[in-house]
Amino acid sequence: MVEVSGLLLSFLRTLILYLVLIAGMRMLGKRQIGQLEPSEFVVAMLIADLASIPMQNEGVPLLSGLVPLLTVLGLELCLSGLTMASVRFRRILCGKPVILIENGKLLQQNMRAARITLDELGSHLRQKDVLDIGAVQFAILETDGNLSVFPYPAEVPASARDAGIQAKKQYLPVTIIEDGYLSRDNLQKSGKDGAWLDRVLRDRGTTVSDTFLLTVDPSDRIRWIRKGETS
Amino acid sequence: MKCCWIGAGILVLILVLGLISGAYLRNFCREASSELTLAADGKIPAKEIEEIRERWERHQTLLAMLCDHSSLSAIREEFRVLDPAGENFRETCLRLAAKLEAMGRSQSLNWGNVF
Repeated sequence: MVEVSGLLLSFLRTLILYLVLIAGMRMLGKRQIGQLEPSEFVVAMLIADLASIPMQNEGVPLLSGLVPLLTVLGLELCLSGLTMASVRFRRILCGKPVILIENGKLLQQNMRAARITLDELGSHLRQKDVLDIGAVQFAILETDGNLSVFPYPAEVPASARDAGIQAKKQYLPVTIIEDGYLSRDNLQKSGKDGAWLDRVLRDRGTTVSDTFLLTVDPSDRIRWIRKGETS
Repeated sequence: MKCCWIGAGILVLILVLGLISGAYLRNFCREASSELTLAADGKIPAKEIEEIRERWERHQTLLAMLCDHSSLSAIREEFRVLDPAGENFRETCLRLAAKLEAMGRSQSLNWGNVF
């Protein structure tokens, strides 16, 4: 058996646990911290602590950290699958959104049930750029703790339709080159080819590796940024 | 539902591995403990005591993956000083047997260990 120092053991254990954590979080899907459901929040808190135990203590077998970690991840996968499949289960695990303001009226009973004070409600509204509570038609407390705010139409800036203006069409740009990396899949998806790309780059006197960003949208509008460009 | 099945698969796998490793550890410790108890009473020849020690060495890697290293170190130290011709042979055997039995018991599935 190879003799290794304690530092190297610590390094290897940390590496293994880190990779398992990354793979596990990847499996759980993309969520920002502020948008986690309760069970996901618990998982996020637990797995950090579980992984740190064998990282710091070499007297503890690595499996002592991996097994609880994988158990938590497995449970979370099961629960997330069940919440997708069953509305009832979703209600039990995640709860229901709660209406706090309905047609301008503060639903005090719902606020009490959700344990939201007026101060907290005011704080949430201000974060949504709403100063006057009377300007809000609906406010709904979502299951992840975020507050969805819908002001009265009269309080909302006019849209192009309201003003009778023919708004310009909006297109989704496709990223062709990102940080010197050419995405052939995206090039194909955008309906362009290598010859088009060569022409675009030649017109700008640049190459793929020298390009920070190149996007094109269905109206053939090109956005190009050279690497190292500051403006 | 696919991720639900993946999660369930992970849980079942861990459960099965846990049951197998628990059974392996309990059996290993119980066997070694009973042999050492017999050795303490002089019912086992010196050659077999050496075999017990070698079996312990062979299973070291697997035991280190499953058990707390401090208890393994303590047992390893006892095995190191175990000498069939030594004065304290009987006490060492009994101490080793007790430690192995305790290690095996700590891995068994009972309410005491769970809570």
